[in-house]
Amino acid sequence: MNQTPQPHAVKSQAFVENSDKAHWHDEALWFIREKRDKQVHGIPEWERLRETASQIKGHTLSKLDTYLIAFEEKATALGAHVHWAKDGREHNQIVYDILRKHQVQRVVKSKSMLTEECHLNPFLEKHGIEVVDTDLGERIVQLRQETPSHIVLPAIHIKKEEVGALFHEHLGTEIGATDPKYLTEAARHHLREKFMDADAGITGVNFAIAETGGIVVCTNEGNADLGVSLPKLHIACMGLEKLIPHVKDLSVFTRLLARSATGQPITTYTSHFHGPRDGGELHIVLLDNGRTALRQNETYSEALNCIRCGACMNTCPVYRRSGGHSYSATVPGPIGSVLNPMQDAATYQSLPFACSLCGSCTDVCPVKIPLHHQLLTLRNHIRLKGHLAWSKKIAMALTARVLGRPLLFRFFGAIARRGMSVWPGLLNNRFNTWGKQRDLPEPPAASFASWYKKNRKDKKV
Amino acid sequence: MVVGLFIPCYVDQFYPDVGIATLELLEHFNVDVVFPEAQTCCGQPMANAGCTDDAGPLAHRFVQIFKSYDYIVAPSGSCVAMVRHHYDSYLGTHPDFLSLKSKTYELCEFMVDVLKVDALDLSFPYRVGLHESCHGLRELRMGQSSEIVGPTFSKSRQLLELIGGLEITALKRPDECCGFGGTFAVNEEAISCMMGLDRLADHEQAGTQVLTATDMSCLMHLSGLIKRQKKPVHVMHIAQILAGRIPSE
Amino acid sequence: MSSRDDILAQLRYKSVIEMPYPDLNQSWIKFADPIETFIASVTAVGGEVVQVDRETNLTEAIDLLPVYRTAKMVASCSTHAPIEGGGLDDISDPHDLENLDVFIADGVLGVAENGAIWLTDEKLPHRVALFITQHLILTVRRQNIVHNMHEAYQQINVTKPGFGVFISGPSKTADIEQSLVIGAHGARSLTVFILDW
Repeated sequence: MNQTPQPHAVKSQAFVENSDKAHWHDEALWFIREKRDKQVHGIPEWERLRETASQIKGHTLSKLDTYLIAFEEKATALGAHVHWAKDGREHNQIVYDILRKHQVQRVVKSKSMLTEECHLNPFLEKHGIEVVDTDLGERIVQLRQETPSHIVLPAIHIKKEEVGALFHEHLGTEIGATDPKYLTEAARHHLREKFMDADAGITGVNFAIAETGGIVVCTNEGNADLGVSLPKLHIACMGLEKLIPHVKDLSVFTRLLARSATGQPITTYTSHFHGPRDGGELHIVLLDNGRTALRQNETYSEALNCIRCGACMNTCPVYRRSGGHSYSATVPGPIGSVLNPMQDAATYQSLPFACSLCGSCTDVCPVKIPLHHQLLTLRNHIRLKGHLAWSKKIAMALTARVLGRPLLFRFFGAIARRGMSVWPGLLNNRFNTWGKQRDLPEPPAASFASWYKKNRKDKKV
Repeated sequence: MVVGLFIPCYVDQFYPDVGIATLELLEHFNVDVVFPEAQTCCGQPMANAGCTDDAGPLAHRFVQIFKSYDYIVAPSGSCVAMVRHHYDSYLGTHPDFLSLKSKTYELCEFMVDVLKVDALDLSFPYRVGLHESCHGLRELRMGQSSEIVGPTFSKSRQLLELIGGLEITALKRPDECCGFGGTFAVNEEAISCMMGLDRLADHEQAGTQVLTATDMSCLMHLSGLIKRQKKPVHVMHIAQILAGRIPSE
Repeated sequence: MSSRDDILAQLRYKSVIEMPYPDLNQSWIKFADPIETFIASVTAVGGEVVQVDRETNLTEAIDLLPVYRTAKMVASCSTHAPIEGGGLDDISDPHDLENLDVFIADGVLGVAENGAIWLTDEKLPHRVALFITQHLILTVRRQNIVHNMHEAYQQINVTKPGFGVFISGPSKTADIEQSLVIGAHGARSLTVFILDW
């Protein structure tokens, strides 16, 4: 990122301006939240599952070095190659070097938010390698030269008419076609060709098992498997925090992931890879990029529990009404509003304030990240880093001084009330943001304190 | 038992009747209530804005003013949540803080858990829309949030159900946030108002005549929208309904 | 210092309080009739279920499936429903399976809570067959249907062979305006035969 992106509040206002689209987007995501509810309310032990998952993650992160070494050892013994990248740049270089060594020209990639985080595609394309994103939603945004707006449903902000127009231009579908079946069929044929012609497949990793050195990839479309079962080269990219200790831990996470993400009992495909296939090669790239730093921060380290399900986005009333692009970050929504400012407070300072602190995200998170508490505390963190606007700091400091002295408080309160009733125009004008769409309260003649004094004056404190 | 009445700063200044109703309601149940006049604010607006240095002194003041009461009761879920959940960083080791935390209650919580109110001799023949304010719901766990898998309960609803003729309306989204969120209401005005208007649309389709909640902050925001839109919905804080008030014409 | 050393050093530099590993021996969901629940789960995710009580019925039933009758290229790695000359041993390049219409394989077990079937590439020379085929047919023994994923992971071996997968229903996507479309990149249909012997 070269320039500081526009703050969330500016982008969200623009999103809301198209009221029909904003409501459509909100309803689409609420529908997924409802599907999630239907699934989870059928699992009586759901809250216990969440607690168990949270504990597994907490334990793993507290011994991450031990588990990483065990994972590397086991994976290597199975014939996989394990690489370590400290940041996005190094990650991309590692991937490119592997591809170059195998003279790869065409890559198919299944969903990996991590590769988005590292901006892998433009890097590889700059070096003359074709990268095709094979998840239908990812392919759609790729053709539109956009970034995904949701980590699980990348094209949730796009209408079928727009997909129809896009496919007409790139895939030769009929003009004006909007039937999702027809458009998906066209994408199926188009992407089949890409799978057949690919020299290598890149995937993300949902879970990596320390005990066995294996990796697990979860998809609904089958594109990850097609992508790595045809070409001989499989590169799997993962964040350090994707590690879990044992195979049996998968029973907990596979029960939580799809239910939280899309309201399905499990993804269509949950593929377990232990070592390369016969005659093939498997490379696993481990990425840090700020994860070790976050782990050391007691207040926010639980954010590393994240299994990238997107449930927090589906439930967040702000995300639903502002869209993922308003966050200007690879991972948006509540979890993104913790991860991004922790990485770069200056660029992402507006994100923790893009939150009404309702707490719904915390309640849906399958790994019990206390998101809304972290978002509140982050605001202080941002102030300490020097990114809070001076006007805000001064206003808050002054208000606190007034509120610290009951006489001053009552005095200014009385003035405000008097002013509002005598001169409503003072506040009902375009400088008053509150008043754009809302009336101000009717100012009463007396405060509660003065009523109390008059009517309960014999009460001792 | 002596209860220290804790009135949110903006309720003191702009909605004094909510304070009066709370007082009258507690007195009706023979509770000895005192309003310590030195109080001003719990510090939530400062903490909300990230200015914890400014909130700290207010937290200390709060403990000093209220520590001697048997209970502290407030007609506000968010202010009570501030004291019970967010004062730790300012007052963690303060000797009076631990006991203060355990005796600070939101009004409905107090009525259900301490006073154990199981009957109200009231009639309120209106369709009431209950807005489950987020802090009360997800911080104080005054009710079961729709996200959590577990038995359904709601202390505010429980009390409303004791009132004759009162019908609680059925919402499409039973506990979605109204969009106030403190400074959020101004910082992200567009989203805040869209959220509020969506809540009102839900209440409209449900047939709500009187909108109520445990937090006046939510109601101030929703009422502001209602008045600007000139909608015929009455807004009353739950304390006012429980104290026997009826919607003003 | 390599990045590996860097990262490990960072992880060890400031000690993080060790959090205990939880006990996974808890009571997890069980169904009154796991077979019935399994069937309902498979159906809910877009699959079809047929119960058969002997091998001849299985091959007959497969013969009757419209997708099988209209198929031009079929293959089977199933021991219960082999196809004469339809094994994958003669295929050296997985790309040659591009036009595979129907593929039949044996599942190891089924999971009632989500309709998933576990299988590996133990008897499967080319794992791509499971995904490249237009239509997939899987068998699973009735006695091998378990209640939940905890039981499943207790019973299966994920490390040998090197590839194993839980398949729940046909491939699908809802990426275009949340409209569910069955048959994204993988199989367009899944038929599950529960073998009752």
